[in-house]
Amino acid sequence: MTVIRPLDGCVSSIVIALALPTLVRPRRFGANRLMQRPDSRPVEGARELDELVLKVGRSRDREAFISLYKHFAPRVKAYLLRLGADDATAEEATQETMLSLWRRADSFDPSQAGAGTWVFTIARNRRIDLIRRERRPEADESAAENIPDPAEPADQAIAAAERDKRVRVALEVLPREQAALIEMAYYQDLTQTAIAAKTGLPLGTVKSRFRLAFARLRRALEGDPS
Amino acid sequence: MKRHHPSPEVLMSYAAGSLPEAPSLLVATHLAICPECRVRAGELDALGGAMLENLSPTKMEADAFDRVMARLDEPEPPRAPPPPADPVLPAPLRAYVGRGFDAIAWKKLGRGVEEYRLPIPDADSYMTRLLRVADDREIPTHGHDGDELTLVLAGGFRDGEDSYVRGDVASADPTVSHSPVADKGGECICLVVTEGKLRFSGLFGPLLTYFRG
Repeated sequence: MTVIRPLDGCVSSIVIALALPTLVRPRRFGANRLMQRPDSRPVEGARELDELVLKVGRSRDREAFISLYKHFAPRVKAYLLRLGADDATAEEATQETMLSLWRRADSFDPSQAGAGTWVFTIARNRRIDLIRRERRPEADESAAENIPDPAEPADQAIAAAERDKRVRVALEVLPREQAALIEMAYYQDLTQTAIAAKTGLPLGTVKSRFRLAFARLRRALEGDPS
Repeated sequence: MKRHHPSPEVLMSYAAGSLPEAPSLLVATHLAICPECRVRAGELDALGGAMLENLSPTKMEADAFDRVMARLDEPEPPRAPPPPADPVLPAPLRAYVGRGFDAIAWKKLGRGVEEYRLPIPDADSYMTRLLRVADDREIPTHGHDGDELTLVLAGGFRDGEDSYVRGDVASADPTVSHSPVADKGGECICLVVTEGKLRFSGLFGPLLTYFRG
């Protein structure tokens, strides 16, 4: 049996080599300027991920779910660990996130948000629910009767896929000091006051850096990534 | 007329999931009324999505995949039905109040002001309440130890130069001591989320602080 192991390894390398050209194909939605960490393989294109979620929603497609699991579960766990969860809790909350994905895929609407954004919101809400033990108030479609004037601002909304792409590009070109604050907001569960206390920066400086980051994000969403 | 929205920082904390439950309820209620901020919130969710994609994947436990697959056929937990529509309380708030606006048990604070405190667990850090202020009456002058967010649900009020109507959010930080006045021609209903404790000033200030603290 020991004789076979090197051969196994050899076969695996060949399989990887054959698979490589497809794995490193350029991502469909721009973002190829995004730095890939050395240990991360390129993600499937955003549209492929959307398709997979739609398949799960339409027909409970297990193959599609497995692909989504492989892509998202290790990232969701990384997100939860970054936010301070211990390994066991992060595993459990990741499992719950993936189950929510399976169960709510029928409500996924790619015209509202791409799969990556949608999964982020599920992971965020499951974390609030399971780890912070709070409720997450949300404005969902059931609140639609309260909208006073839906027509005008809807014109300003850009298609979800284009928006997601522009946000990715904007994030990538954000000055380091602004990106660091956004990372703290999303990955350290810190409010601005807490960020100011942690970094020793005056609250006014934290606020103005956030505003600069927002202004850049807004410009990028309006089609000017500079 | 100029509309008043939550600050971008508050919207981002909400999107990031770091904003505590009480101010999150106010933001969600505002989003139910404000399509413009829903677009902004969607963008900030997209920022979270982009950051999730950027994270280096972490190794899962060896049996994690099998455990998830084994649970796919479990019966789903029931989804909460959306609360019935209410002319004053948008859906996120209606879910917390647990009854329609007309059935709220108001408590009189005097001087034309009534309140209803919402049952939110984190009551030590935040006071969350609906205020009902009679036509042209003043809310007692007060400062606060932390930020205060006020969302107008009906009627309107003036605070110095600014005026606020349904859907508008007034933000006040601890340096602000203000005395908002309800508009003439109808009562003003607001959702008010106050971080820390109120400090009332004026003649009855210390007394009010004592009773309210």
